[in-house]
Amino acid sequence: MTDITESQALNHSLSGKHSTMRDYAVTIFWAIAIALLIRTFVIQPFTIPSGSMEDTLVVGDHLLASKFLYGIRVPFTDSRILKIRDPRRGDVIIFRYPEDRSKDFIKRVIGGPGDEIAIRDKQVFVNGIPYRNPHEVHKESLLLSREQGPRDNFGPVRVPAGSWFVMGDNRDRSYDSRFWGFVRNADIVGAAFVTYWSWDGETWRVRWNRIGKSIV
Amino acid sequence: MNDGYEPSPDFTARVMKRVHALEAERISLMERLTSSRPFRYALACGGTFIGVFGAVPAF
Repeated sequence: MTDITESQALNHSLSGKHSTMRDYAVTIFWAIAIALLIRTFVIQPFTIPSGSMEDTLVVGDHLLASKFLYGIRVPFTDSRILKIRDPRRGDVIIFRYPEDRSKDFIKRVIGGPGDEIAIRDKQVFVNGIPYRNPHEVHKESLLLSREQGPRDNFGPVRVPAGSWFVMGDNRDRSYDSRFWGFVRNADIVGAAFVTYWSWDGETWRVRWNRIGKSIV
Repeated sequence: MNDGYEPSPDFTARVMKRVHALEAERISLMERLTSSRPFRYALACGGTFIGVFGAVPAF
């Protein structure tokens, strides 16, 4: 056994500062790792900045999306693992905007692979059968012809394999598959399922009645 | 090694008193707070919460 003096013992006690720094580094590492893991594989929060999904989602809503329902996307690849199910007609999905993948869009699934989609005078037809989602709204009575744009008259088009046709619930003010095409399976980020916060920026009030509302 | 070395009976007590006096003199309240484990864990939990709930816009 080595003898130590008072001074040595004193110095030893002061070296505890270094271990505090190390503890901080370890704690910060775990905080970042846990946050990243949850956001990547479990749930991710999103905020709504536009009215394309009104009245289902309004500007200022904050929602959670499941990252695993349609399969966990393997980072840096297009493949998915542990899929629970495929998207279904009526699901509200979040996906990377095909024309600028740095942006996320949120829309409702209207058609899946093999479906034929057509719109005639605002009425959606899937495989020739009229499809009206209970959440869709039309805020403009004006009908646009096919020559004026695809908003009210579109298709028919057949959805290719591994792709989805999506539309906003606010049909007259949504920039969706009618304008830019299909969403690839690999671009789907998650399935929106609940609103956890809602802030009305105009009145500066919390919309308490929207908190905890499930997104269907 | 000093074979004749014999620590005084109150060696530990004297060292601890000096350590305490020195720490109290050198370490500010803020430093003491930041080096405490509960504070560090609370900070980590807060950071994780903000990290998880930092919402991304979906248009």
